[in-house]
Parts: sequence; C-alpha cells; structure tokens
Amino acid sequence: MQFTHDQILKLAPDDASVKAGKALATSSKWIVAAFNEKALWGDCQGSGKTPYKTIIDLSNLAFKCSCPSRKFPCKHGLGLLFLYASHPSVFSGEKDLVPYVAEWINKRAAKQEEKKPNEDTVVDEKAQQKRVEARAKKVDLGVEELRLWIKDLVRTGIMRIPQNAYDFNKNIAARMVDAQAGGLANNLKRLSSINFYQDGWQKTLIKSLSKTYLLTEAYKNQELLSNELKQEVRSLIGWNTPKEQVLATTGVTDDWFVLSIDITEDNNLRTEKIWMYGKGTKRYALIINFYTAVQVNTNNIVSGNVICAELVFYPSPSPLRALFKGEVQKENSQLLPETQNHIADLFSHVSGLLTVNPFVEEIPFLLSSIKVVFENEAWLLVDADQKTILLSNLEDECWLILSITKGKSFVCFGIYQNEQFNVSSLFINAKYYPVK
Amino acid sequence: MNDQNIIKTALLGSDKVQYDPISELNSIGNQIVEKQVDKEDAFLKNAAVNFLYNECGRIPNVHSGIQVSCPEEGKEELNAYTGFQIKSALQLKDDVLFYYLVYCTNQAGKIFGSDLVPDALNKALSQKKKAEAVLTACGETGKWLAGINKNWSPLFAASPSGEDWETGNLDWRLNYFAGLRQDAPADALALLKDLQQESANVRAEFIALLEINLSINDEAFLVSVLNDKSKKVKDIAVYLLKLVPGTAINQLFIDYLIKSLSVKEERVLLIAKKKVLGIDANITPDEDLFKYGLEKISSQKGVDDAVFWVAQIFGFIDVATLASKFNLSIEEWLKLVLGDKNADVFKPFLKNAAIHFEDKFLSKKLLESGIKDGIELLKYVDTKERNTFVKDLLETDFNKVLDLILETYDIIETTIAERILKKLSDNPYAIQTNIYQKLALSIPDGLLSLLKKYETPASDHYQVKYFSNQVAGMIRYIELRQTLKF
Repeated sequence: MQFTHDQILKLAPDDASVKAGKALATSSKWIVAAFNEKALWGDCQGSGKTPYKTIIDLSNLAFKCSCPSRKFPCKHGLGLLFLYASHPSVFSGEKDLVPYVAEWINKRAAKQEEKKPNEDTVVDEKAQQKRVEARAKKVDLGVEELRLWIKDLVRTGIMRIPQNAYDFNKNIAARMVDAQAGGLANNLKRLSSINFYQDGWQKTLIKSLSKTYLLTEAYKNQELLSNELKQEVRSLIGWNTPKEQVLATTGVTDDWFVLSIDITEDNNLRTEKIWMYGKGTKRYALIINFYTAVQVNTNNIVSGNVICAELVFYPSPSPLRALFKGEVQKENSQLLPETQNHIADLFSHVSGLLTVNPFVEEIPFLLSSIKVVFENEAWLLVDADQKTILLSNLEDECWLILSITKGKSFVCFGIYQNEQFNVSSLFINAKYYPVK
Repeated sequence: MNDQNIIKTALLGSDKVQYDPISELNSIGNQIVEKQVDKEDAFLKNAAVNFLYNECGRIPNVHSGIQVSCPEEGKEELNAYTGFQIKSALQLKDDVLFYYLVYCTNQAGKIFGSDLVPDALNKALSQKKKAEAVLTACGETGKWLAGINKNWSPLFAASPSGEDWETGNLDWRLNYFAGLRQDAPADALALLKDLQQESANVRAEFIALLEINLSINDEAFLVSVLNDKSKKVKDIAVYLLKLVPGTAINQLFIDYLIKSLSVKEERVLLIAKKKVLGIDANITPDEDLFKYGLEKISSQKGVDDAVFWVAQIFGFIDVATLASKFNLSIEEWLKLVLGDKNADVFKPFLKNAAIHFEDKFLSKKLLESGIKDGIELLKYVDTKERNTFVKDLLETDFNKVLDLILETYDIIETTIAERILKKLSDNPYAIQTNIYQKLALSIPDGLLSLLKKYETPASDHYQVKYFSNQVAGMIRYIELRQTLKF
C-alpha cells in the first residue's frame, strides 16, 4: 500500500505532529526500517538509550509505538509513514514479521475475528425485546421532558436566552443523553452554535425548537407514519438502524464522485462525512464514519476523485446516508460532475424534499454557473439568472472561494441548510478545489 | 401567522402575545388549535408548519449589483507540487521555507496559485517587513482581493503622499522623509523648513536622515542648523558637513591635511626608492577644527596627536579626493596610507570612510590588509572576491559572517560550506535551529554525503546528538529543495 503526503497529513492529529513527523522522515533516525505486505515497522532512535519501536498495520491501518506520547498516531508513526512515502528504498523487504510485530498484528486480527457476529450464537429474543422496551420507555420519558422544556421556553419567551447562551440547553441535552435519545441531544447541542450576537438568531432558534417539537410529535404518533418516514423519525430521535439490516438491502452500483470530505471533532470523537454524487444515477450519498481519538481513518478515499462502489442506503423518504457494500475501487481520476442546476433549481429541489421529508436538515446540491459576491458585508452566491442565496461558509472560506474563482463563474458542491448554502468544494478551469 | 409574528410571540412569550395563523394556513392552523394540548403546543406546531410552508415556497432574490472580476494574470502559476509545499509551510508556520519559496517564485517570475493567496496575504499582514516579496508572489489576485477586503487593502496602499506630512505620526513621517530623500533630495530638504517647531530629539532624527543622498546642496541648510540650541542637533549637522566634499568645513579639514601631509621618497637598499607618507607634527590644526569635533589629544596610547588628527580626518574624507590633492592615483595613495607605520591607527577611520562612501576599492584594500572587525566591509566587496575574505573572517566572526552570507539564498562555495559545517560540528549551539534551516537552503547539493556522515552521531555526547538532529533537518530541506521545480 503506497501513501501520498496528503493522505498522511489527514492521519495526523495536529500540525505539530506533522512537523515533528516530517523531521523524523530521514533514514538516519531509524535503526531498523522494514516492510512486509502486512506491516511497516521501525526502531527510531530518540533521546533515550532504547529506541522506540513503531509498527503500522497496513492491512487495517493502525499504529503502535512504544513512545510515551498520548497523541495518536504519534510523531514516530507519522515519521515512519512519511519516510515510506518518500524513500521506500530505505525499507528492507521482509518475508516474515519479526516476533513483536507478528504478536501485535495477530492480536489485532484475532480481535477483528471476535467482532464478527457468531452465527451459532443464539439470540435471546425475550431479553432483547425487554431491552428494547426498557429503552423505549426511557426515550418516551425523555421526549416528554423535552417537550415540556420547549413549551416552558416559549411560554416565558426566548428573549433572555442570549444572556445564558452557553448554559441554557446543557442540562436538557445531558438529560436526552441519559434518556438514550442521542439524536435529540445532538439537536439541542447544535443550538449552542447559533450566533446570538448576530441579528437573525431569533428565527434560527425558534425554527429549530419548533421543528424539534414537531419531530417529537411525529415520534409520539409514529404508527400513523409511512414506514420510511417512521424510520427517519426514529433515527432522528436516536434509534439506530443496525448496519446488518442496511447491508442486507439491494445496493446501488455507480461511479461516485467524492465531492467533499468534512471532518469535525467533538469531545475526542471525530466525525467524517463523505459526500458523493453518482455519475450514472445522479443521486447524492453520504457516508458517515466515526473515529475515537485512537482510531485512524482507514478508507483512504481522497476528495475530488472518483470511486466505483456499491452503496446501500439507510431507509428514509429521502435516502442519503449510505454504507459501502463490498469492495471500493478507486479510479484516481478527477472528472467534473455534469450539472446545469441554478439556484431556482436548488429551491425547487428543497421544496420537493421537504414535502416528502419535513425533517430533512442537510440537503446536498451541485450548482453551476455560480459566482461568489461580497456585498454590504454579506456573502452571496449569484447564478447566471442573477438569482441569489446567502452563503453560510466561515469568513476565511469565503475569501478562499473568491480568491480561487477570481469573481468568475464556477461549479460548486455544497449543503443547503437553514435557507443558506455552504460551499464544500468547487470546480473551475477543470480543477477541483476543496474548501473545507 | 408570518415569521415576524412567530418571532414576536417567541421573544415575549406565548403567555403575553397572542398568535394567529396566516390565511393560507388557516385550515391546518384550525386543526392544530382544535387538537391542542395547550397554547404552547399549538404555537410550536403552527410555527413549524409556517416555517416549512415558507421554505417550500421560497423564491430566490435577484441580484442587482456588479462585482468586477480579477484582471488576467500576466505570469504563470506555480506547479501543484510547489504550491502544496507552500501551503504546508504556511500551515506548519515554517517561515524559513516559506520565504525561500517566495523568493524562488519571484526569481522564476511566477506567482502563487490563487488558492494560496488569502493565506499569503494574511502572512504578509502579520509580517509587514517581509510583505513586499509575498505581495509580488500574490500577483493580480492579491491586489484584486485587497481592493475588496479592507483588512488587506493597506498592504497595497499607494506609497505615502506628502498630504499627510502635517498629520502623520513620527514613524510615518520619518519613513516618508527617508523615502523622499532617496527619490527627490531637494523636496525632502524643503520639508524641513519648519523643523524648529519640533523637539530637539525629533530635529536630530530628521537631520540625521539627510545623510541619504547627502550633497553640497544641503550645505546652506546644515550651516543654518549650526545655530541650533541643541548640542545633539549641532553635532549631527557638523558630522554631515564634514562628510560633504566641497563644504567650507570639509575644505578646512582637507586644507589641514594638505599642509600637514607630504609624500616623500625614501631610499631602500641604497638603489631603490620608495614613496612614504610624512606627517608634519609642527602644523597644528586651527581652533575651528577642534570646534568641529576634532579631538585635540590622542586617545590612543603611544600615538602622536598629529597622527591621531590625520587619522580622524581620514574617517570623513573621500580617498579619491585626497589622492587627487597629492597627484596620486587612488591605488598609490592607499599603498602609502596602508603601508605607513601608523596604518593601524588609520584603519578604523578609513573603515568608516569606506562604509559611508560605500567604497568597494577601499573596502577590499582594508580587508586585504587584515583589518580587525572588517566584517561590515564585506557588503561592499564583489561577491566573487568576498569568498577569499569570508574564509578568514569565519574564524574570528563566525556568526556575523554567517548572517551576511545568509542574507541571500545564493549557494555557498563548497569549501566555505565545508568550513562552516566543521565549525558547527565543533560548536553546534553557535546558531539556532532557524539558522540551520536557512543554511541548509544555501548548502551545495554536493555536500549531502558529508551531511549524511554528520547525521549519524559519532558518540552519545549531547552536543553531537544535537548537531546530528540539526543536520537531519538540514538534509530534509536540501532533499526538498532538490525536488522543487519553478
């Protein structure tokens, strides 16, 4: 497996680790540097007498190092990978793994095996049903509590919330976590990202509160909903659809443009959102991966490239979230997705989606013949028909978009949310540029 | 119920403000009210329905303004790989590499890719002294963006104009004055007509700047300053008047030299004749010369007052002027002065003259004569000739010589680079990490094998290990430099 510098940068926990890792990407630092199809390993001479033993599992990307660093991967892991990327000849090819490497690799393989569901295991359906019922009870209680909290807020008025912007939702969000309604907890946490110093917060807040209230109403009356909408509502409340259930459905095979990869971090949990667009099917897909602090991104998918894969979609009236089914083939080609969509098309797409799924939050869309305009301290996207939509990107990202496009027309991919558009990537002069 | 009504009710509380569904949503609104648990329940459901209804029927606004697009770039953009290195250097705050890449970009007559420009402009804003080269590399895109972004616009602001002379702060006025003095010395001088209104320190600072493009045209003004109340201001004026050939004060000093000095012929080995410099100790300078700053008593042990007077005057008289007064070529004159038994007394003063007049020939001769602390003279010597002196000066003034060498990104001559590395291996803490990095960018490729030897520490001694670490970093820089294509 060969890595590019870009891919290695994606693995690094911070810039300081990249810098330190690059400094170690020199052969003299490594007393031993070896590779095998399963692993890379090396002994790095640090300041102490005993060199640090670093191992990288190539078959299921993971790092191990004997250094005391709490960063993951540490600078030694990154250094070894940088060295392998730039000077593979430095590494001696080994047929067999050395014992300490073999021990770790085998241990990992054994754990992977353990994770696989054992077909022989008899599921205690009664106990499972009991657990589900107990959870449903907890969720119901949580939902009632949330409804009461929202009603209390609107009864007394939201005027004073900006004075307590950091705290007003903390307890109720924590309560939703306890009630095992993770989706509702996330909705409530998102309220903290509202800019209470900017005019317009009132609408954003009441819109979010009323939609959450409507969601709880839908959950309470879920038996009246279509199966797909019911699944969507339950998922937004916090009920997970088992992966196995999704993987059992029929997939959609296509060449998928990887339009954007967004990574956000919250409390040591990294969320990776891979937005894709099917070349033949002309549909959007979203792969969501979660990584803890000690896990690394394993898919090696690069934004701007095309992959050939079969995707299975989670049930929803507007299916978007998906999983890979089977092997993912990377084509390493960069093609411009064909689109002729203008802002009016986006608005009509949004109307269509909200009609079938009123709870949809993020709507991916490709726009063509778009220009970015900075006017009266506001950022706008303007299309060829002079129709506009507000841009919700951060200030730095807006300047980057303007700089890349130089005030000229371009094709962009972004997410419609809260009546604004957030550009994730753009295409101009046959080149792809990520904005995130 | 439109958005404003919902917001009003939400802000003040449903207890205080009544709400009414809008006519289009009357039917659904009535159903909600019929089934309401309480009025908050109905309000929240109505609000959600209203927001959805509005969002589904939204019509985009029409834009009426015009934004001018960026003018076409006249220069080619850097390739993607080099662009990636610049991005990486900016992200990792690797200033040494970043400014090297900026230099190479400008040397190659290319520009940054437009995706790098915002970060580069922010960098220029944070390090204004080095901004000029960065702005060049940002091309037309940088200028265009600065025209839109008020934070970046000062970077490209036109050079200061005289309109702000009355209102600008001292730093700004000093900078403006220095710039104007460079381009139009007479115009700059004219600005000093109201100088008396300023404090003594400010007057002193402005008058000192007259050294830029100093000429005989400044004499009248400088003479008028001799009546200044401040001794500091007067001293600066005298110093400048002494430096300008043709001023009355300068002439007084030259006249004294002509009287006091003579060129004699001495017989060598009975047959050959040699010209030597004679100093007549009986000729005493006018009192005026002492008034103009000539020290009366020799401050150097064992040096005659007469010799010391001559030496002091050498410090502000151009050698070409003196040589012509004695009908000698500059070379012959310097041979006499530097071959004199008092040459060591003259040299420090001659060094001042070489620096002030930026005299390449005098600088070279002084360096050849083995002057102490001659490092400052290296600036005025041709690059090719400089290397000869650098080798010697490295032994005595290592850090200063290295600073001078690293002022540019030119590749250092192999023998000098080897000597620098040897010195550093003996004393690795002589310079800091950023200087090691900058040095790496000027080390010839041919020394990579030598560096690789140094990279493997010969012992566990902390200094050896430190040097080995620095060398590893240097190798990375050199290897990166080799991969760059502009």
